[in-house]
Amino acid sequence: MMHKLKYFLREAFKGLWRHGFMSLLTVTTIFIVLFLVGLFLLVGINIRFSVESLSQSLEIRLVLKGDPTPQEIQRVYDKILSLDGVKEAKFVSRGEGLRRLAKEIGREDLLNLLKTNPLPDVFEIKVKKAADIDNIVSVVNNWKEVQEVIYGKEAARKLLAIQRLLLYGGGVLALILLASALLVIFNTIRLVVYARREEIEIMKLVGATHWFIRLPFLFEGVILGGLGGGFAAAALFFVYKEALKFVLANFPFIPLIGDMRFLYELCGFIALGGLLIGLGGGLFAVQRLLGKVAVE
Amino acid sequence: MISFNMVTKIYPHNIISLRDITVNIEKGEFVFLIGPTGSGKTTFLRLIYREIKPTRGSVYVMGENLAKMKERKIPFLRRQIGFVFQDFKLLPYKTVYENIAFALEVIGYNPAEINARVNEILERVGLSHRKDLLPYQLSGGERQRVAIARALVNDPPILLADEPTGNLDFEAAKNILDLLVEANLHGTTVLVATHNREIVNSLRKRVIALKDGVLVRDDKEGTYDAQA
Repeated sequence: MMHKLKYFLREAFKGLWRHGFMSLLTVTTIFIVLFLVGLFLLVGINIRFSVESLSQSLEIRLVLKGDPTPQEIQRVYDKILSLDGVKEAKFVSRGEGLRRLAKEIGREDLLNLLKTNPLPDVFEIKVKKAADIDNIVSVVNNWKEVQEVIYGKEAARKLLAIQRLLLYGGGVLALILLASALLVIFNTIRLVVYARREEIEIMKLVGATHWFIRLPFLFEGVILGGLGGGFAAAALFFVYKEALKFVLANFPFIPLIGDMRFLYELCGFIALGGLLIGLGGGLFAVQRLLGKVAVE
Repeated sequence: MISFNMVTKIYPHNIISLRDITVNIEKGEFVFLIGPTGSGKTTFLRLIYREIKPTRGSVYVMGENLAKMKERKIPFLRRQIGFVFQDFKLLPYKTVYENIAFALEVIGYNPAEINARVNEILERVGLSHRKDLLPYQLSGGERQRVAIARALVNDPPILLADEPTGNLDFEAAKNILDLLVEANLHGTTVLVATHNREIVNSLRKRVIALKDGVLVRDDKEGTYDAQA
């Protein structure tokens, strides 16, 4: 058993070395394809993250009618929290509003100047997603306690449009990328297959079983795919870390995901993808060969 | 050992390669399979190592009906058969030694046994001093001797040779033939497809002649051309 395993590994490494150019071509192809896929995922996930953070800063201001009692205020507060898509709600009394205004314009004596407070009581509502804003607004508009609803209609619309673009555009782009990746890998495998026909023909001739022929190819596939995927994962890790540093230093207002767990997961996923592509490619290649190569 | 029973082989597009062939080859025989190009010699051999199945009729090798043989058993059939081809079919990047050892590695011999067997067969074909060379460094005759060594290293009961002397001059061809005869003396059943007249005539072995896929002659101590 051991000398068989040794034989398979030796043949796999010899095969890789002998077909050095092909091996390099395969590793490079898998590296480039997976690096691009990973980059696309990184950018996509981060844009999504930014849009989500922006949506969360969108605010609906609910202006209450007249002079509500604390019970009325509490009732409105409970109603707001029971709505779908509400992240948080905060009551800003007219006194609090005036203090904020005074601070903003730098006149602490504003109340004395005005004699009476002209501001209304207000609820500030934060939403989970930009898409929820329209729904929430249409519901609260009908409440009898509400005088007016103020929100960034235009901003909400634009954010929604961006999210849709990301979803559909991103989906189409991802499909195109995936299709071209498969095409490139498929063609690389065809080249490799062509270069190895003779070897397989002779193996069949001298009575090697199909599994005996397959295994060195599978080992080769896993080694090549693992290398391509591993390099891609390492490159992505490095690129993202540097990008994060650069953005934080120069554009701190751009929200990037700083939690490294997502990066570890993504890189692991890319490396695993390489292994699987290698294994699948090797299996596919040798299957074609076993089927097609006839002993003549 | 090898038995054809009313065997017909028709390739796609209705190309008839063999027609109603019935023939028996006994254990230990030495047989020449002769006939012009396209007469069906190669098809005859391919049927024996189960690269193809007959369209009609049955082929038995060592008691097994090949038409009913399962795919996964084919490698084990081929371990019983040595092959020699006109174009040698050696792996160009393996040395003489490695090319022969390869045949034993793929069927799972252990390294010590491989070493012993390869050195012994190299001795037998007279190539011990060439064992570390690559095929391109050898003459045509030497390459064919490597191919024969590979075919025999496993001591197969059957040896098939398809135009083994096709690319060689008479001297080299004679040398190859001597090795085939020697294998036959060791008990191997040998079947040689050829259209080399001198070689067939020099040995006076059984001759099976094909023409347009039909068996036209089966002589016990035959010559290349039909005798009057």
